[in-house]
Amino acid sequence: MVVWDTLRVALLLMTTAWLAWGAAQAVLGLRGLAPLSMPPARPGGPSPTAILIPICNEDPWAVRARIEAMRASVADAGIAPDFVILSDTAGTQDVTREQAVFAPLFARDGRAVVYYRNRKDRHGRKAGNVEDFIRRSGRAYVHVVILDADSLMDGRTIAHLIARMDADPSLGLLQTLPVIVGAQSIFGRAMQFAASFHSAVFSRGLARLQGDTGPFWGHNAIVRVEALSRCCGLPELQGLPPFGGTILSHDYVEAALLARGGWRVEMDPRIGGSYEEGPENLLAFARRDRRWCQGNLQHMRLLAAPGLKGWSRFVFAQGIASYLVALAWGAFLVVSFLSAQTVVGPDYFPEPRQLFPVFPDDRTHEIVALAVGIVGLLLLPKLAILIEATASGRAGAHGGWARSALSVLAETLLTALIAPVMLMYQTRAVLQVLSGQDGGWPATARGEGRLTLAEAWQAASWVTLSGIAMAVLTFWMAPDLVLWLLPVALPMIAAPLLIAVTSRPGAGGIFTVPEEIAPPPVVAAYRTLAMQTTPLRAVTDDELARPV
Amino acid sequence: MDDRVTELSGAAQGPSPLPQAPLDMPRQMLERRRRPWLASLLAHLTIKSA
Repeated sequence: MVVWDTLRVALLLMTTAWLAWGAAQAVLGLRGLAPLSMPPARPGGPSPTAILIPICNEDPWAVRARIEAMRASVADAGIAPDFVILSDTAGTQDVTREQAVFAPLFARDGRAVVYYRNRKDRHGRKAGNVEDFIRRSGRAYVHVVILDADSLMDGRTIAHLIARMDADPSLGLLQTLPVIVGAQSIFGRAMQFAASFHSAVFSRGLARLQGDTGPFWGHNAIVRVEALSRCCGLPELQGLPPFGGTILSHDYVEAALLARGGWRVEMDPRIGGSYEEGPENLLAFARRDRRWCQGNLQHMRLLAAPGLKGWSRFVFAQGIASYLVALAWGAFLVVSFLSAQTVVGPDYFPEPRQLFPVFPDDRTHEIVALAVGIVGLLLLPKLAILIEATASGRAGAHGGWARSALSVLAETLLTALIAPVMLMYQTRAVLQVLSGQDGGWPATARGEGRLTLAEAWQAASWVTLSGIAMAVLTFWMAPDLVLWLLPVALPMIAAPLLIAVTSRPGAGGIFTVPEEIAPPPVVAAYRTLAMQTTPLRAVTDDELARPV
Repeated sequence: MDDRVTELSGAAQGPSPLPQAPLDMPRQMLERRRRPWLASLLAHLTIKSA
């Protein structure tokens, strides 16, 4: 018994410590930051800056529409950075197609210049793609704004980023907090709402904690070319993937290397006008999570890297723990189940010739206190953020207090339903990586949305079967635990249904975000341009399909 | 132009490749070179006795 209890306490300590860390960040972020001010303009105008858009087999029409929207926006902001499409697209037909689609962007008509290059040696993936650009053209620019294929940034935001970098020569990297836009499905809109409503507070907490050793999230950030070139030439790690080879989650490593090189790395959540898109269904989310899992666990190799700042090592450890904690929750369930098998009944008369029985201690209060503590760590930050949003007026931009409260409640319930399914996917991902399976870094499938029940079943039947096995085994061997296990087992059993239903468009009355009520100009411009190109898609594809 | 890449720009006035402005990007050291402990000890002793 003592062994099981010790194990359970250790596992609970790990999992609750993780929850407490998240809650602490929320508490630290409740108080707003000082208002943002625009630094004075640099004499002679903003420094030469390139906006890098690394792509790899993306939808070229969507990329073109985003660039056109941002090009108009930077012109409105009075700056003229160069746009550089860094293509790692493979396959002759895809490359020909994207070059045909991008061709109108290259005309020199007085607007910001757009460059394009396609790399045949795709060494180092995205980090290698950017590195290749720096090696060829880095000296021509003072700063680079690194975007993702689905990123959008307002021209005034880009102007602000350049001005901040110009005003502070010690600033190596300035990361914005990208807001998720364009979600349509129930799942996507719930995640979009959570990111908009909660992340504002969590990121303020993070900004207070990190100081000059902030994060880099790989995109929607500006980097000083001098700092990038001196500090961020990433080596291949010794050995084979998943732990050796190319560094996958390169952004965390680049932030750590910049800090090691003495540059300030800052994340400023006050900077608006920075957007990205998110996964539209749970399977796409889990696929992205599998990549991040491998990338973060690879950081185990870098925890002792020479010269890193303490906070950088802590960030690596935190990224690793975020995946190991899934394993700890799973292990806690298994240990609790095994522990129930070894329980012996109470001995009311432990001494011979004992007159009165000895009743075992009633530990109900302790168990309830533990459950309330864990639920509190999960729910209290959300409640505090709801109060903060109401007091600060943020709730108004999310459809008002009542709608915000309803959205928080719905998002919490949905998260509780999804959590056991994600726990299974994360546990599988961690076990795959630890057993040496390389998941690679496949191109992100963007825009995929609605899933049929058959597709969801095909991808998640193993979760259902695991849930059924868990429920049957518990009912058979430890029936007292069945009720406790149902909140975990039922969502697992219903996983395909949950995945299919939440991939559908919906939840219109809730999950409102400010960008839905009033689309930002650059987002609205992108949508208009994307709609205008819809009829052109078929024409170009037909032309390309014609035999030569 | 490097034949490992394809560059396009300035379609209206002929091709205009990316700016040719190379910048070095030295490889960073992230893993300590593992030195066998025996070699390390011998090196230490050699230095001491010299």
